[in-house]
Amino acid sequence: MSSIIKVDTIQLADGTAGTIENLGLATGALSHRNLIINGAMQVAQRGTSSTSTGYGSVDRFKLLKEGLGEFAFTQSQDTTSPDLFSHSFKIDTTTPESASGSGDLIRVAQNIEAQNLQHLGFGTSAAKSFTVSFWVRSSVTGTYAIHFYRPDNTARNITANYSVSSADTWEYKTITIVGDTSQVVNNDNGEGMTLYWVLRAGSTFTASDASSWENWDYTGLAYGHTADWGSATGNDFYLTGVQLEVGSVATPFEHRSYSEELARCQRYYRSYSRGVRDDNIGNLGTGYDVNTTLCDITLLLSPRMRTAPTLEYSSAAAISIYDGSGHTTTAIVLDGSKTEQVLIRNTTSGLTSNVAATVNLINSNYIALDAEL
Amino acid sequence: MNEMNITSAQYNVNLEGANVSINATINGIEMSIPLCEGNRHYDEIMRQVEAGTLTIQEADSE
Repeated sequence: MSSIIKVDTIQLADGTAGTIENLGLATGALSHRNLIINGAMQVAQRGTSSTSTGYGSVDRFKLLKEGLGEFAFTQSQDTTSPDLFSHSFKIDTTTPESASGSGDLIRVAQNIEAQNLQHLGFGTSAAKSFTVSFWVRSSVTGTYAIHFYRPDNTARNITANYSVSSADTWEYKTITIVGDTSQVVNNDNGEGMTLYWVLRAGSTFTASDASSWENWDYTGLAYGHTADWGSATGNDFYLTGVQLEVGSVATPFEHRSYSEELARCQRYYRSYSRGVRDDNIGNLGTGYDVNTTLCDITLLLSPRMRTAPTLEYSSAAAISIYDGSGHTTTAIVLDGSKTEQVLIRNTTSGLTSNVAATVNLINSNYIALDAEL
Repeated sequence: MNEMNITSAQYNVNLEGANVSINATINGIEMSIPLCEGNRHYDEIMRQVEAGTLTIQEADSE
């Protein structure tokens, strides 16, 4: 049976007219194209706002800063977004850096796990080009750098640029990077490649031309960057719709459901009652009183985490053990940690030995497991 | 670049007395960290120990 597909127009993600060829369907996968996790910034297990560097709000994206004396900020999951998106990752300057320093550096980053990059063929003669697309909105116009770093074997890096033409306006950007035939990305669960969106960079990091793949050289990581972001209170930078895919064409953003995106994020971080809870006691499950001071509980992890996770907790007194009466913890430690389960040992007093007990989070306390790159 | 400000680190032992994890305060957050290469917190603790800028305290005696 033959079939015919009739369309009047084909439209690319930026609204311009497209063709079958530049939809990229001939070379890329029809689904699971996007190697970025949480690219639409839907998931924020740690909470929606933070004034700390590192992972603080939207999952899998972190904020990094170096060499700055005054700069203070808020990183947050924001509802300001372009059409067809509900959220963005926002960096807001709350205290500006009054003078530029050569060592200034502010970046947003996402690490990609190495084994998820094997089909890009890094370090082989079949290395493929890849394309990054994203929506960006900044209060500071100018040229920005985006940096790609691969640590395996001899570390490699390349830097590209894009322009923000209009202040406080969503703009769609696409950047194609040629394949790199040098240095294999190991087929493991370590860092394969990291994308860095540079917001501010001093001269130390713009000194050398890194517009082609080269062995790691930090002096080129922000090559071409000129935007003076972070110099005034209220300088904002928004990012969403981030997609990285094989090939030289940016296809429309691959929207994934919240549940699918959450499951992907939970390979790297999972919270228990952090940020969102619907009652005052979050039950973690059933534990076992090992003796009168120790209660163990095992948490099974599905999906498995990337590596043996760290246990993060809001307080040593975050948990209540109930074995007929309640006992607040005085210490919480990992007694075992694997990708598929953790054994948490809770210390308290007055327990009844060798009985089952329920293990509960108290009020607004939380625990979380962290296996981020 | 160092993303982690580690202000305390102490081993935990299991019932047999063997070290099984490290409790640490990192960027103001309390954590219990497995002794596992590839865990970013463990790797950073070991890097700082090797650099001589961090000492892991022995576990409290039971």
